[in-house]
Amino acid sequence: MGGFLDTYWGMYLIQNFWHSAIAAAVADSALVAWRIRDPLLRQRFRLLVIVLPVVSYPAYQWLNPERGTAYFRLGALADSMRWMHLEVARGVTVAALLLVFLGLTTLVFVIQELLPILVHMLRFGGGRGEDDGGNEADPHPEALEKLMRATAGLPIGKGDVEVLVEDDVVLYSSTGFAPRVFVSTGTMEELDDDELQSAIAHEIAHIARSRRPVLIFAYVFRTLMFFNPVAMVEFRRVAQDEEKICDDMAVSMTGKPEALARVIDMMRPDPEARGPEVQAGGKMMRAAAALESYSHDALLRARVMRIRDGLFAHNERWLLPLASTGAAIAVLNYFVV
Amino acid sequence: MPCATDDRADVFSGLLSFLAMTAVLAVVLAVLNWLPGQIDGGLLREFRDIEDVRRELGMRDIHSPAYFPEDISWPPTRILARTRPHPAVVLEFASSEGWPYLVIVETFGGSNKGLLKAGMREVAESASYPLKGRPAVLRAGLCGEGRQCSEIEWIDGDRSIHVQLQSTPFELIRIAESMIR
Repeated sequence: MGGFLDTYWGMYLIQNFWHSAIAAAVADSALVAWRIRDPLLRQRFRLLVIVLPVVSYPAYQWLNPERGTAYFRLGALADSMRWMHLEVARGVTVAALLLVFLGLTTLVFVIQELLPILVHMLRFGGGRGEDDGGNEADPHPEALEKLMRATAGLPIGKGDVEVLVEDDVVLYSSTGFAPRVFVSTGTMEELDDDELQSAIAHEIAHIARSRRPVLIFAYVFRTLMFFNPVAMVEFRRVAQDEEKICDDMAVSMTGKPEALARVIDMMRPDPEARGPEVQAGGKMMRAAAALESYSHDALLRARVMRIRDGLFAHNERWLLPLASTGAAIAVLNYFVV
Repeated sequence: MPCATDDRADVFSGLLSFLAMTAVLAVVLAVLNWLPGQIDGGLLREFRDIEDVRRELGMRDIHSPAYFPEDISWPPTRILARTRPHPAVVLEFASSEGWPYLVIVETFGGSNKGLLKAGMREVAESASYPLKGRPAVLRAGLCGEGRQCSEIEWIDGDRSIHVQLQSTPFELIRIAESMIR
């Protein structure tokens, strides 16, 4: 174990984790200190947390090859090896526990993210994507009229919205060369005109945002830190900010925040409803599903409250806060070995 | 209506809050760095003299040279030692100008990686050398700031010893031989 920790990759692993944790603390401090609520700006701070730790160790070592020596460590702000070598039980060091924890994070990444992506790619290849279900029947003319009313005034062409004839509430968008919004007849029946317009506007916002693929960029760096739980949490926060950004864009398109709030409220999970695999599963699976459901509900509730409380003013001056945060992260982490 | 002055005041008051929070974080990190030393006294730290190392870490048998070049003498100007992850002692002897002239690193049962301040910048020659019957590796070249230096390392029983001297190999060999009993 000690031998591995002394290697380049051993030190990269340990310091990457510490640097992420410190970057997250600094970024959160900045968001509080400057009272930054605009999700677009918050996302930029979170991207610092995802990007900087990937490159910090190699950059610091290039700047100062002696940074890994005992001499630098003695004078550093924090030497991670002082904790790593501590024994918590006979023969079990803090390093061993941390590596187990990072291993579990890797497992979560593989099961929750990598495998679904691979399965999706194998199922659909380079095609459009999800099995959009629906049947061959044409949608009812009333449904089409409702759709036309909802999309009037929105920056979307007629052919960019595809109607799925099915009773389930389905609404999503696909991005890429031929972006589309998919909406089911069940959705159109469930939502009134304003709600449908807001929901479609939200999907249009996702399409517009996909032209500057911030999430893809963030995900590449997040994938490079597949073992790092801080990167995992931070990426989820980036994705949550993305939803809020699209909420803001949707409201600016429609001018109807309450309608969007109602749509999101309808999407909140029913705590009693569980899929058959969860019902058939053991206690652990039900607990995990309940936690996931609660977490998802909390996020949706937060979005609804945010919209109903009034959208926050955009911070005009963000360059100094962002630059200060990046500098603070870079300087602090240099002295954390 | 907010004005530019209000904006600037907000940004600078935010900067002060942020700097204060960052300072608190730095203090927390410093405390976290100090704690392990209180839990386990065997982590690498500096000692005043060799007797403290023998007494506090129980490392009785530390090899030290009997011969020194003209410019330096006992005691070492700096002593580092630890027992975790594996025992090691670093003895540093500074020149009259203050830079480390002679560095001796003894490690017991593990690598000395990280304990060497800086490796040789340029190795002009490397050869095996029989050091009083023990196979050693001798290198000569340049160290930091272009100074001539040489280093030798060998294994003696349960320990590996690495000696670096900012001088010719001849002096280095005399020092190394004086460490072997």
